[in-house]
Amino acid sequence: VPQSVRETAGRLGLDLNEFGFAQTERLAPLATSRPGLYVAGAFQEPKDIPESVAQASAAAACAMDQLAQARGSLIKRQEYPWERDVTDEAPRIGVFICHCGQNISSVIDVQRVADKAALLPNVVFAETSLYTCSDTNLQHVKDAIKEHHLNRLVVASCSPRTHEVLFQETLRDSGLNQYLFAMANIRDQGSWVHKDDPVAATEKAGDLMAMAVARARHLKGLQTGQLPVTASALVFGGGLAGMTAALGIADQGFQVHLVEKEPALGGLLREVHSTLEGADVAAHLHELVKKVHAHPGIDVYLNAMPSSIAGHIGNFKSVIRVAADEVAISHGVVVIATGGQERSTELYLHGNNPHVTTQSKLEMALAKSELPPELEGKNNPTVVMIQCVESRNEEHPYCSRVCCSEAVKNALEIKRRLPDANVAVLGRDIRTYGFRELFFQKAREEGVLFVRHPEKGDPLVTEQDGRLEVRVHDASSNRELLLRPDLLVLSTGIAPAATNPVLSGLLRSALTSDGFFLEAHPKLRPVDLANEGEFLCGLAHSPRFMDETIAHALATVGRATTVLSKTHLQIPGQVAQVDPENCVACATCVKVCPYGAPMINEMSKAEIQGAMCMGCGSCAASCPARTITLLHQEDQALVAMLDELLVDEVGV
Amino acid sequence: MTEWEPQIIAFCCNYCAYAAADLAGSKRMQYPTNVRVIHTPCTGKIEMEHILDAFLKGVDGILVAGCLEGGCHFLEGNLRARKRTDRIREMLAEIGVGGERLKMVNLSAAMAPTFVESVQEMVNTVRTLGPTPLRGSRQPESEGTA
Repeated sequence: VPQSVRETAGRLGLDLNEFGFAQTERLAPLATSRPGLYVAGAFQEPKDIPESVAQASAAAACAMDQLAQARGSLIKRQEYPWERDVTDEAPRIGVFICHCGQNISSVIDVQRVADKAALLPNVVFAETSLYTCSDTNLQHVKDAIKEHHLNRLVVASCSPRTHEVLFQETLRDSGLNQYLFAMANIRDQGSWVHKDDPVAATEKAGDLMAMAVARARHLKGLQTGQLPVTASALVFGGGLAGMTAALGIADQGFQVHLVEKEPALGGLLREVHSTLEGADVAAHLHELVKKVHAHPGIDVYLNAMPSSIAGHIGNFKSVIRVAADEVAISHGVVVIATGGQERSTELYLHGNNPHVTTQSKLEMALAKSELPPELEGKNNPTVVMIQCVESRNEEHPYCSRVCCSEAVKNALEIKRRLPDANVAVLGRDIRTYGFRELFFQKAREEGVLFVRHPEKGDPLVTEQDGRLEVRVHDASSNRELLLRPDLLVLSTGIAPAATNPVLSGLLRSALTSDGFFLEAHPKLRPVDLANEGEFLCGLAHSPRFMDETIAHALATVGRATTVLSKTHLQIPGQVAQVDPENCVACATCVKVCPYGAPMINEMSKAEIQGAMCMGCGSCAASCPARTITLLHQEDQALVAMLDELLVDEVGV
Repeated sequence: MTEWEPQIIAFCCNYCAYAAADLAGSKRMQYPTNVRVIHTPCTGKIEMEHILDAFLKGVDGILVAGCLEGGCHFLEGNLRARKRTDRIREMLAEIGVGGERLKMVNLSAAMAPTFVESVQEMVNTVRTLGPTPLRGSRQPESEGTA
């Protein structure tokens, strides 16, 4: 943690932990020591990008939770003038070439580019400006639109990724459709990358500007539709993730339908009793279940499974089967929190020898009584733990993340109650993530033996007259060890929920090769599913610790409420459209679309459901009948750009 | 007549390649001026016909730049683009234009150096091959034949 961050934390009055990170609790990972101040990202604990992004959404959800009552109270509505229909007008294009202070004009001769623009067909106005994006100049652009009756705008400046929205806003302010705009990137992809060749850079800028003008001639105004939003959420799974998400959404004033397949809430959490740090998980679970049942905004359906999920963001219609009844539910978003389970195994005599158990069963035994029966009444019994059982192999290549810490937690607990017990943990390596490493260190200090074996050298377990024998190659001493445990504990890892394939089918949402739900983007959209309005959290996504599941669940709260807090959703104009005339209903579009937007309608023609289309154009490019168009990316505009660049060159 | 300079088009997808090209700018990395970027939502949107059209209109080389495989914002658009470019490369080789004139690269939004190297490489390749034999073989569609 950099000194500057520590200083900021000091000014904010935040407690830091012994390493200088923000002090948080495992069961409240976003809350700092100061109420109302939340933390996200590496300042909380070292972590990768996806967890940081999820935590950021979660922190936003915590803040929204505090502010929910004041939602919308400080909004000033932007009023736009009536939009002028320019369909029947010949293009009248205004071109602005930006100096960007010196950023562009120190390399590119912007006046030369403007002069070239002025000569292009349909360009009725062209000039340079010091900062095209400045307030003063934007007013000037609006004046020019009015004075010269412009109906297309081209700006040659920086990147559309950062500034397109701003100029589109200017168009709307001037009564023009926002899609009547084209941009030429002559800074990030011009002056900045060609600073030693001003002549060629100017020629390139002229080309890019002319290509943008060529594109602008073909641009059409597009309607951005409005879609009413049903302000309720359907949450699948009533474990830690599902309950946390349900409470978070309901606390912000939205209706939640919580669907759990078991007869009781709790999920996998019922098998966990404490965290490595000693937090009381059972009490947390009890509190959660009580809150969920008591919350007026949450309807709980137990013994329930979905039988259909139809619709799209803002307007889903699902049917839930509860015992013999079917319940229809309308909702605006879906949260997948279906959890996971401890993997079952038949390896290492599990199921055959009563003294072979798993980590979660050991934890339960330790929670219920002082010692498991195998250790009862013995002075120095031997406990052996085997890590990565049925994990990190060809069939299940992933690491289940929690098992090493679970083993350390249980080993420490046994040593605490029976200091003379021999505890050995056999594994390829020990992965106690983040601050949990401290407990690995503590376990070694307490005398827990960690034996590292080679990847292909899994331990061998046999039974000799009812007595267990474990043989393992210790990589550190390069020796074969023979252990005779009274209790053998297997860390079997986390398997995806058995119901995932069913739900995946109903949602048309992909699972990973490991059987977990696949997020829309591993880094940018870690708790979104590919389809809009669908989110996922907890073990449904991947094996993770409780604090990570809580952060994940709160992240879905943040994401879900961005949808639920709106009365209407804006459908972007860049969506695919089918001309039914030539459609032969081959369903190629249905097959290639990652979002399930195309469907074959009752007329046996393909139809794109606008609210689900993300505007990638995959269907348009794949359509064998070439009868799908991605609006705003029409062929004519691209052909015109190619013509401008390659044919009949004018040159600057 | 001025000395021949290769004319290169780079189709860059919005979420990765175009962002990487912008990043190259932010980092003030330098590359040849021969390339003109065309911003596209996803490489999966690029139709074979438009790539062929550009070659028929005399472009010397085309880069198709998309997300890393498995990292496409639209999931599999880049994989379809890969198939299409592979097919066109074969066609270009067959008719003697040279398959090397078309190249697909995969990069993340953070991989500005890869973008710069790819442009540099394409310019070098095309310089070695010389001007496209198709230059001037097709008239603009929009204005009819002169």
